[in-house]
Amino acid sequence: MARPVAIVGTGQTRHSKARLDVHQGEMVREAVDAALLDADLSFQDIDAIVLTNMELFEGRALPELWCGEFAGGFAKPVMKVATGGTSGTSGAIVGLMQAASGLFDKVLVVGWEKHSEGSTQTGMSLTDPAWDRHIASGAIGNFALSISQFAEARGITPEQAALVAVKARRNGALNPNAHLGDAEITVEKILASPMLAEPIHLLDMCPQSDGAAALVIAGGDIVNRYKNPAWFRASATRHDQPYIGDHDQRLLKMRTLRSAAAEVYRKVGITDPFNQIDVAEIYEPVSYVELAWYEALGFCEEGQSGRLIESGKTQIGGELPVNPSGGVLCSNPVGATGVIRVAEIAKQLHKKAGAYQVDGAAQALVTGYGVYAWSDVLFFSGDKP
Amino acid sequence: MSVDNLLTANVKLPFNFAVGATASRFYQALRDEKVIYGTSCEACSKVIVPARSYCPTCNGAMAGWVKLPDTGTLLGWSEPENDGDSFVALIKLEGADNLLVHKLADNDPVMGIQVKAQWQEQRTGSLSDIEYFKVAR
Amino acid sequence: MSMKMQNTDTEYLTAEIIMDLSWDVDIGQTMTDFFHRLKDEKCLYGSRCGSCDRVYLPPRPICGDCWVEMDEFVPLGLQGTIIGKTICYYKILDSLTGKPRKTPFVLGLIQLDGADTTLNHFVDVDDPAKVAIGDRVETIFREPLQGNVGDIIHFKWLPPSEEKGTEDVS
Repeated sequence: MARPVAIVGTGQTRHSKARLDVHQGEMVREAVDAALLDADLSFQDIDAIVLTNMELFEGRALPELWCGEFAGGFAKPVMKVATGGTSGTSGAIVGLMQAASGLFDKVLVVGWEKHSEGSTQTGMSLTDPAWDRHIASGAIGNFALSISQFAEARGITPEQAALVAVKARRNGALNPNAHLGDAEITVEKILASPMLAEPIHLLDMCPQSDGAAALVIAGGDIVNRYKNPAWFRASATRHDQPYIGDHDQRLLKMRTLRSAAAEVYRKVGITDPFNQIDVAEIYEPVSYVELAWYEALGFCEEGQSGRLIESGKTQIGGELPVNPSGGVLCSNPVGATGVIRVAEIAKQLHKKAGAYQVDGAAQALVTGYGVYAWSDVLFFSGDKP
Repeated sequence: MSVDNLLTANVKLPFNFAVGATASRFYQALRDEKVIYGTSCEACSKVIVPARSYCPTCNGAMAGWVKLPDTGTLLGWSEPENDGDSFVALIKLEGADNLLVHKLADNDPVMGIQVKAQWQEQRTGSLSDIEYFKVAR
Repeated sequence: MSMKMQNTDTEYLTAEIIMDLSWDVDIGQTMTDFFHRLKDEKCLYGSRCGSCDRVYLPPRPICGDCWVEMDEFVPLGLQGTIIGKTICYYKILDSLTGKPRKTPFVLGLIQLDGADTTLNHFVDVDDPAKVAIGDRVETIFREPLQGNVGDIIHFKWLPPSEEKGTEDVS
């Protein structure tokens, strides 16, 4: 990296099912205002802006044009990054690189989505018209197919998966920005919820949210102003082949996430992820998937992810709290979701996570997952590199 | 590229856009009160129409609502290709600092003349609640 | 495209828009050849990578893993193996028609004999609960064939006992 950079401010909307009181741009503005307030900066201080959003979900062309104004983009360098579910983490990586390059001292990254305005599952199905559009079934069906393989090969039970959703919703109850949260949720309640696509129950699945999230990234002397900057240590991103069927054992192999994590671990000197990482915010749109990520990220041996969730070690207060914010299972405005992962880790390192603060959090991992085609991994630390 | 390689892909999808609280009030006032509202910027005092939540120039929040008259000055027009009955016009409402884009029903417009809104009888809460602007007599 | 303003349950207005759009997509020479062969021979072809030996369905001109051109078409079996499956109950609109798809429907990740990649498609079965990973399926084509992806209607589930006699198909 050309020079050290850190996240010095974050802001989020209260994520919810439908924000009818604001249009997309006004929702963007809420998150931007909150992030600038957190960083004690004004619009004039920002040197460059990265936007992340999936326009097809809202059916409106050029969101970067008409929402850029609400991020304070007038007469500034503004660009949009879109890589599916990874859009937010990819946008964060671009913003971090822009600041690290030395070209810009203060970069604003803002992601948003308003799922209430469109047909997300159908929008996601606008794939190759020659080959698979007529049978495309959105995220739920695709996940269910891969999960059927993973659960059978690893012997994952519905109860073990439900424990992931229980952890997430209890954590979400502590997070004032979360769309979902339920301090009283139980495994029984998850398993009694309607079946979406076997073995995924409604409460095993993330919601579709309206929401926005923003980061203020800083490089150079300005970082000295801040008490607990979230220092960026490393990132890696991997792309994969285009058709879901190109991956015959997607969750079992997960070559994009494994490869990206291996690169990041090598760069920051992680050899024992479970013991060396203090907190993680990972992209888990479905309960089962968090268990697959435990394996791919080296948090446990292959086949041990069910045991790991049962042990409680990934809860707040455990050895490696995973998604103390409630994660994607509690809030999922897609273009913002990766930004939220980064923002939540920054809040942990800023020691501003309130009721879900992880004590002594210093080494922190973020992942993003975009369809089956992208994985992003980022590492942050309380220590200046 | 041969025609043989072409596949026609049809897409049909429903969307439902929220216009937000500020625009909702603007459209409801057109529908219920036959009033055009702008909002004024607390920093630069400019009045913007249709009403917006933030000032496009200063980036700051808008300070308040300003009731505008339904009369103004014609400052530009062009003849649309498909609709021979009306012109697309730029109108400066009295008291507003930007221009409203709307239809003009006049076969022989003159720069700078006064125009007035022709309201629809049945209003639905959209800019079309004003059918068009016409020369004020 | 149609648009109308409407009152929601709250004081906030929304604009409902139905998008009905159409594009002419160039599907490329490889897929054009694939569909011609499907129509003429009632056979699905994959493309084989000369470097890693993987056989791709749908065929494509470049192997993404090796980044080399593939110019060999290989015929695939009409039967295949289910390597992932699910029964779907959730509401989804068909993007081609805008209408809800009938539920429940069974999706399978199907590996056709001779292919290394898999195919995400509908499984036709009387009782969805019967479908298990490892079961065999058979391609059911539309008659007459038109030379597009709609020619594959679905994959018919084969009861494990019935399938035994046809194992040598590939």
